[in-house]
Amino acid sequence: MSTTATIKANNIQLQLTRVFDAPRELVFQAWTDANQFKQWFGAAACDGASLESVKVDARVSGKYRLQVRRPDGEFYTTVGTYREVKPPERLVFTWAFEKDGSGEEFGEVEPPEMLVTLEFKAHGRQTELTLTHEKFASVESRDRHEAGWGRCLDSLGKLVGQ
Amino acid sequence: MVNCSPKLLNRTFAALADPTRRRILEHLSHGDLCVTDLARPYSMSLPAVSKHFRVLEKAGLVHRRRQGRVHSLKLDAQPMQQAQAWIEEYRKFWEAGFDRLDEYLKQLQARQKDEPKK
Repeated sequence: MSTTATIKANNIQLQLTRVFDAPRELVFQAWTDANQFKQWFGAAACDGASLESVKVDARVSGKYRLQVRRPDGEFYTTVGTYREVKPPERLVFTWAFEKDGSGEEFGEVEPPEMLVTLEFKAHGRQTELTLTHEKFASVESRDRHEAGWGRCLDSLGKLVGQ
Repeated sequence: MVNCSPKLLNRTFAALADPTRRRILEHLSHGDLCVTDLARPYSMSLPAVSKHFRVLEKAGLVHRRRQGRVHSLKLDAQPMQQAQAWIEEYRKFWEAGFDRLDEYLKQLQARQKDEPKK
């Protein structure tokens, strides 16, 4: 598994790559089938919290909503829209938090709205999954997928470790 | 989740995207420097280097101190620390997600093997 972080002129990008012992079709479905998604993602999203509700409508312009209730009773709810759904190779969706998060239906979103890109590569009967989570400086640059200059955050770590 | 003001991050990114500015920051990571000493290694005019200083100041990455006619700059790692904190938060989040996905796929395939063939 590898992880890199890049700061470009208009966005900050986190990328994780891992190989899963399953064919692409299965891995892809785990992300797009609501029942399956609930089973694994829900547990990850919660840290002693509980998954209150899940809505997944994995098609272009479809939305998803993951509602998590924390132990202190507060909600945090992630929502987004699917931009690309190309089984079994590519899935792209926006990622943002609801201001309130406690309702049953979709609520008002607070900026920033980020972008998550999943690329599924077949390696025999395994799948190499690359997840890219991007935070953009502006909505325009997110939508343009602006490619600025890249830089790995590792070397910046030297400056930060003051 | 980590909260990062979009405007400030925007300036941080733009500031960090330039190689000369990154060299300046690295220079300052060893200690504060007066502006003329800081500008000396660069093969460009002082006004040109000063432009870079101003971008870094606006991004909150360096702070200027004036002692008489001597201006010196000091590194402020906080904006970069915020960016790094954001990255760290999501890295941990997605790594946990991948761990769970891995377990889930193993269980799923084990169950499928156990099911009688139709």
